[in-house]
Amino acid sequence: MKLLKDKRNLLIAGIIIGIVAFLLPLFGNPKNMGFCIACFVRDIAGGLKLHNAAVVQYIRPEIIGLILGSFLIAVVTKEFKPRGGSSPVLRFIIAAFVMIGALAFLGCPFRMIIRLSAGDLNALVGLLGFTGGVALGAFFLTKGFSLGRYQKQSSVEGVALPFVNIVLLVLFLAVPALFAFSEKGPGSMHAPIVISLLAGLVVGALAQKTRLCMVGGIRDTILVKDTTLLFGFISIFAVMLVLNLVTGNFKLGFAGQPVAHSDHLFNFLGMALCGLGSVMLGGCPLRQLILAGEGNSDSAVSVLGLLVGAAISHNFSLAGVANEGVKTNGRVAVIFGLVFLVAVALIKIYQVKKEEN
Amino acid sequence: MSKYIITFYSHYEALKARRVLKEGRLISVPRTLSSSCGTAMEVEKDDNFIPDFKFEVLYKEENDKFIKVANG
Repeated sequence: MKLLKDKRNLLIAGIIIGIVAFLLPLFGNPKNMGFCIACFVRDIAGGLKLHNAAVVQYIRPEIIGLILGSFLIAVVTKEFKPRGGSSPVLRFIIAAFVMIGALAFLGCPFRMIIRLSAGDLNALVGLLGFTGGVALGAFFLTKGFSLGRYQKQSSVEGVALPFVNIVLLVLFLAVPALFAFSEKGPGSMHAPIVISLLAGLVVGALAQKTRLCMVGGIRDTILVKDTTLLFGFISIFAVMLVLNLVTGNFKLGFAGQPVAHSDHLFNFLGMALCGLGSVMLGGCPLRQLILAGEGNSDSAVSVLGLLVGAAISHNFSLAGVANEGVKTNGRVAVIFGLVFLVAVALIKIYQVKKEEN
Repeated sequence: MSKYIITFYSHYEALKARRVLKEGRLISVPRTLSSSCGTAMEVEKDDNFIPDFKFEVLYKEENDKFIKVANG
């Protein structure tokens, strides 16, 4: 059966990705941050001086690698298909809120799994909120929510974001003085460039081949009782749990977890916002990078929305503060984001129903 | 009779198609058919089946492989 093969491939890819994500902090990345799309895009926003939070500025080669890894394998396997044009502006705004939600929690869905595998129970609260957000999004899908169908586009459109990433990589290597780099804090902690880039390329290619997505599994389980896509992150969780236990990195509890806080309500709501927005976009932040690499310009717009969302988060103090929590600005933004996304979904559903009658 | 897999532009269209056909089963789109992830329908129908509802691509099973037979 075809889906069995999909599950097997996801399990294998999950094991490799779990090992890579476990190794990156040993090479210098912040703890429990082998991969975090939200954190790394946020660091890039800082490196590009889109925000001036001095502790989170670095051009993370992992992100560039993820996009280019997906791009290269898609070109080689003839799956590079430029397409897009499905509500680009809405996607940009929704993606910005996905980032605001993730940064309130301090991690994208991928890092949530990584944190959970190291015993960080705040991530369990996040997972509950995330699942709630995905379930709400799935409910909207059954009622007719959609951002509209895509169109085929020119290869120039599809190549645009991968090309920008190549330029960014070249500038980062050749003229690093152009960018801002953290001297302390998470932004100052990073694996050697070659290792980060290779890790990104490998994981990007694997994620493209297997469609690894933190949202898709929960969504499909709810919508059609199909658990195939769950296998990717179950596999990542399991392999990292074992590695953390064996190496003594596993520390069960809420307090004192690396780059985390125990503001339960806003860990829950932040990830609910992230989950709901991700379903509306059709995939988690990692998946948006991978789809952008395949020539999907809707996802490329989402990636730009994530970048700007990160800048907004730090310019207006919306992001969670490690060991403290989410401040008033962030709380208002997360709640406003949830209300806004629900309103967008309801209006879209209303329009679909009206068209049907 | 042949086995078909039908992909859609949205989950909602898949749901509506299921309602029209009153048979078949909704599944995640198999990776071999597409690199995007959405809802598809698996259904057994006559050999010259063409859907009368909105869909993206219709695939038909031939010798253990799914071959594209129509665009929606």
